[in-house]
Amino acid sequence: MRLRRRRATELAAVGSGQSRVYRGERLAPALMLAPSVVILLALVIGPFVFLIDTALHRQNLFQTTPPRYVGADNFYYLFISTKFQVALVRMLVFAVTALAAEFVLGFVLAAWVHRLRDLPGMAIVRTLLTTPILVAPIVAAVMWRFMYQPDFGVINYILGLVGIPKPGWLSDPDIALFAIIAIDVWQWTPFVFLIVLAGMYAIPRSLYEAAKLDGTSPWRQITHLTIPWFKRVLVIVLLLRLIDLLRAFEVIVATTQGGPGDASYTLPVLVWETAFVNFQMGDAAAASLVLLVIVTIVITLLIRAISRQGVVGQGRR
Amino acid sequence: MSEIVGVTLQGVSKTYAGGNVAALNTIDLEIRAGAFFSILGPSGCGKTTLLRIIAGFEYPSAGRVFIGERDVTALSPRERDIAMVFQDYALYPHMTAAQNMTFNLRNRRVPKAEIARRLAETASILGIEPLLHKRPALLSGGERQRVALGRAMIRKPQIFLMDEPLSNLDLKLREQMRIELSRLHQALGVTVVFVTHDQAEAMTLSSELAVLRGGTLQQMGPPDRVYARPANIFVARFIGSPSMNLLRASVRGGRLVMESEGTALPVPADARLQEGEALLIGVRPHDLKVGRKGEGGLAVKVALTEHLGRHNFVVCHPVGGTACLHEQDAIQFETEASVRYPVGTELELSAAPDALRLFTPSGERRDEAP
Ligand SMILES: Nc1ncnc2c1ncn2[C@@H]1O[C@H](COP(=O)(O)OP(=O)(O)OP(=O)(O)O)[C@@H](O)[C@H]1O
Ligand SMILES: [Mg+2]
Repeated sequence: MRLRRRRATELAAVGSGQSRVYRGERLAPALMLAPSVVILLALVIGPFVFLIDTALHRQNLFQTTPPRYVGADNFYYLFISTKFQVALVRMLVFAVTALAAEFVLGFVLAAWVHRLRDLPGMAIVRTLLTTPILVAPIVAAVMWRFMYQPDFGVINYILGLVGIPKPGWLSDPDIALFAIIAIDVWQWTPFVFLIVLAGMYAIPRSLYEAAKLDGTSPWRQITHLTIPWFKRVLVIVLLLRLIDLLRAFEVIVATTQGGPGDASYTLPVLVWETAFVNFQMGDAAAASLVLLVIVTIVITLLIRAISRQGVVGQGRR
Repeated sequence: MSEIVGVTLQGVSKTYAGGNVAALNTIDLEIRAGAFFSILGPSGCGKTTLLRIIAGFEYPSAGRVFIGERDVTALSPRERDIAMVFQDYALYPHMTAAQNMTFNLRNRRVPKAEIARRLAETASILGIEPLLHKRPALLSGGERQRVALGRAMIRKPQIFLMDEPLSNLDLKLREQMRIELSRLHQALGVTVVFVTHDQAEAMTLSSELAVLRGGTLQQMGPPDRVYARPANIFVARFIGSPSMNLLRASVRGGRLVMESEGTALPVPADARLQEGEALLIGVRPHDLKVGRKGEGGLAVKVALTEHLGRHNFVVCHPVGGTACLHEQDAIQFETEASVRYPVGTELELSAAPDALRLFTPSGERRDEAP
């Protein structure tokens, strides 16, 4: 009741042009927002601060000694360790190779399905091609581990039938990383495929027909029509995949856990191993901060490069 | 420049996969070299299908397509040496106007100097030099239209196909582009196949036109001939605006007598009509004249006058009821702008005998020999 009367006087004040609003009234919106802001801070900034704090301490969950402040020591030891350098290289090889494969394959598949779109049964092909996305990554990893199994796995069984030597897919250090890349490619090419295909469907049919009349070869159709048409979408897919690939770790942990040796030892695996195998929380926190910074830098550079090219925010029609 | 040729369709039919009715029904067309040929008809009658078959985007279910002497039925669009202006222009959005126009030449590796020469030439014909560096998004509808035309022209193809190229433009621009198209056709002397559902466009532009309905060819010929001697009541009503009036009548005592009405019109001299024969009489609004009372004619009551500047169109209802009208509920006639009839005025309309078009009750032309 009192509240309503106050509201009424306030409205009257506004209405008559007077702006004598109580301080309490002005604070009200801020107070109402406060709970959400606090929750947001607690959920986002909180863990981040905690992570930085952890990275500045030496702490092993197996020992009862309390965390000891060590300044930047954790970072220093991380940077000089060969493990870190190996992990960095493996991470980049993993991300770049998988990204390239997923894009090339996704594009080729989409172009193929789009070209044959009027054939009967194409809807089924499209659905089949997209099912891998639906599989949980951990399930995919376990499934592939079985298929890669050297002695009774289906892949080597088929190779045996043809009479090709059977490699130890996940146990051969030269092959392991690429075998894992294949799993990621299997799972995520459909994502690229789907978005590229959607982009192709969005191109008016008459544009392709005009291109046909203009005597455009199928290859030039892709480079001069399809790609320029949805450059922006491609860039966004590229960013999404890259972020995911730089952080990928379930598939590695579920198959080789970074091995054999350090063949598939990427930075996220290093973080995982340091934290949950060795329980060195300070070192793990430092490594994950470095990972975060790397991802951020890569993304920022890419977005810069792209917006300089005028792809972002450019009108399409 | 490649030699100018025509297009011939022989018994072309098309049934789309999944469609149960034929989009086109055994069409025979002869498009002469250098003609401005319009394909005219209401929405869904198969105009676009016909054009796409000529272009090679669709293959006919039956029949053959010739460009000049060459049977192109099985050839791909690329091999047919045609250019097409699409209804939505289909300009490449990421290319400038110049790049759009030269894409075809660049695809075929025409030397750079030659491309530049042809671009300059085409741009100056169309008056679009200032637009060449702009992308389609920055062009107005009319400018896009010109660039699309330029893209087609620069290749100097044997045949130009145009699918309702003017339908996206506003009225004023459309009239302007009509004149321009006409001029271009004369200047280039090429064969143009032009699809439209706008009869006025077809009438003013074409040297010859074909009227389609439901996938079937209704009539083909020069516009004035089709206008003057429509093959059936569909063509009669589709061509000319406002539409031809159709009246039910029968021959009694050597005169045409309206159904339900008793008014009589003089019989056209050359028609050999049989006593008692039922007919449909077609008469264009500008052929109906107001006669003096009691002279005999169709008695009507004025319902509405549309002022159109130079002319008025008067809409009126027959005094004796609408039973004498065929699939319409009012009669229209044209008067001078200075002549005004208040609503409710009773008039008697008549027409000169040779202004009457006679059709059988089923709608076919009758005034040919029976
Ligand atoms: N790809 C297709 N598949 C199935 N049926 C089609 C296809 N294209 C057109 N049709 C059908 O064929 C008939 C003729 O279509 P068409 O597009 O040629 O008509 P149109 O005269 O160009 O009409 P509009 O003036 O509306 O453009 C229509 O009944 C249409 O539904
Ligand atoms: Mg059409």
